[in-house]
Amino acid sequence: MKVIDFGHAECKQLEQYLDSYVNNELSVETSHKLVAHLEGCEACSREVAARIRLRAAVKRAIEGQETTNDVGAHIRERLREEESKARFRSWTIPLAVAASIAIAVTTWTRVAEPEPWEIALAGQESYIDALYELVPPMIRVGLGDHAHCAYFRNFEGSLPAAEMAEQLGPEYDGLMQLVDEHIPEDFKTVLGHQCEYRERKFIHLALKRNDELLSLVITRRDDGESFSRDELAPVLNAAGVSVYGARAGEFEVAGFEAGGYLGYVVSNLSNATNLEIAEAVVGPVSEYLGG
Amino acid sequence: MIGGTRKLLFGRKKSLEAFESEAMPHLGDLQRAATSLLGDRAHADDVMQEVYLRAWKSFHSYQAGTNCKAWLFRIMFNCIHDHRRRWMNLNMVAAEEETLERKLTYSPPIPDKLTDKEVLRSIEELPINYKAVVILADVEEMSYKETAEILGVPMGTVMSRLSRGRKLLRTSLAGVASDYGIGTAKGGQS
Repeated sequence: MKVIDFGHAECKQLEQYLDSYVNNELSVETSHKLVAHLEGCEACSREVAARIRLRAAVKRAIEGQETTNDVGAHIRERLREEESKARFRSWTIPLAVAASIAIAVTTWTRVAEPEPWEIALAGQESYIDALYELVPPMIRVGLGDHAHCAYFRNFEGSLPAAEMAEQLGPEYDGLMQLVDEHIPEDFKTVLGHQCEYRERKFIHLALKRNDELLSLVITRRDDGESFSRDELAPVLNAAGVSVYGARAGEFEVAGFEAGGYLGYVVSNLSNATNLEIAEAVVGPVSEYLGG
Repeated sequence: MIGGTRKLLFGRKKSLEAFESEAMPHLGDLQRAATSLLGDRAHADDVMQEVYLRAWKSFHSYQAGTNCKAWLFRIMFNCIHDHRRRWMNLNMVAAEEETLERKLTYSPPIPDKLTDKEVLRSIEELPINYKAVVILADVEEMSYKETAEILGVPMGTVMSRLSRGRKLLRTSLAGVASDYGIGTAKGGQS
């Protein structure tokens, strides 16, 4: 905090700091200097006392308002209804997933010989739909691409770095190296490409460490898109960038806004580890994207 | 792989008990703040129901141990913003702020005796943006930073709105005192 010297300040100049003093927002050093001035200035002391009195009167008046219990009762009733609906969905969604696969297999068996990937794809899409039920829309963006492109892909080895760089394109030159520098050493990049999922384009890096799979998913931010709009609260501040977290089953998602982009770190790691990695990469990636 | 769905869907823990213990204790504070902000208890009660429903739906994103009250206040201001868009023209509020800024050059003294009713009436007269900052910073005792985050405005805006809000309150309360012939503290700084 900046320290203000009131030694030779006129009372009028000092006035602008009185509210911050009353709200305990000045640094300790500045407060000490202000107090020293107040000790020798009766007018300013009275003014501070008046502001403290006003603050106390406002607090007392608002806190003294009576509230009704009816609202609490209504809210609890509605929450119980929502909880019942959620329970119902938790049973019906897996049934719907199973049913959709069964229908797909039956239909294809009768009409045409289904390709294994077609069966798998129907299941995958139902699975991702079920995942989407668990999280707000802004979280779905990164979660869906991770599930589609990384989780359902059977990684055996990885493409050569040069090929991945080519698939990412010159616009994102250096992104892989940047992530590599900030992520734990034992993670290996197994995928780097531009992709499209559900009519949205992504820059996608996937990294593996034994059975652990992690994605950095980046996409252009559409007008009006923001995590705060989904009522998400930041769980972390990484180099001045707010990071928003959510969990969908075994997936941890950490999302952030970087200028015209949305970024996500998605993995099957623990909440703490996923956030730890997000904290390490969000700042550099955000700077890289011009956020 | 689909087998994971079962684990995934049944692995979700969203306990009403946790919500009850974390979020519900703040209902009274939010209710009082909403009533003061909107000046209408019926509107405030509607907003409260919406706030808690929204909070419940995104409760999975709330991290236990963080500031639940601040999180709820942020949701409340989003709800109020949505409601106000339906109720009034926000441009009028912006114009009102500019006019006030030009007028506020004097901090009148504060009456010696103030009733809660008089203070509430003066708060009610404040423009909602000032009211919001006064409630968060003075009643809820949130820091400038927390207030700025909840309202989605820069800290400098919080500071200027708080200062102007207090001056407006003093002007209004001085008027009350003079109307009723109540004495005032001497020596208020101009």
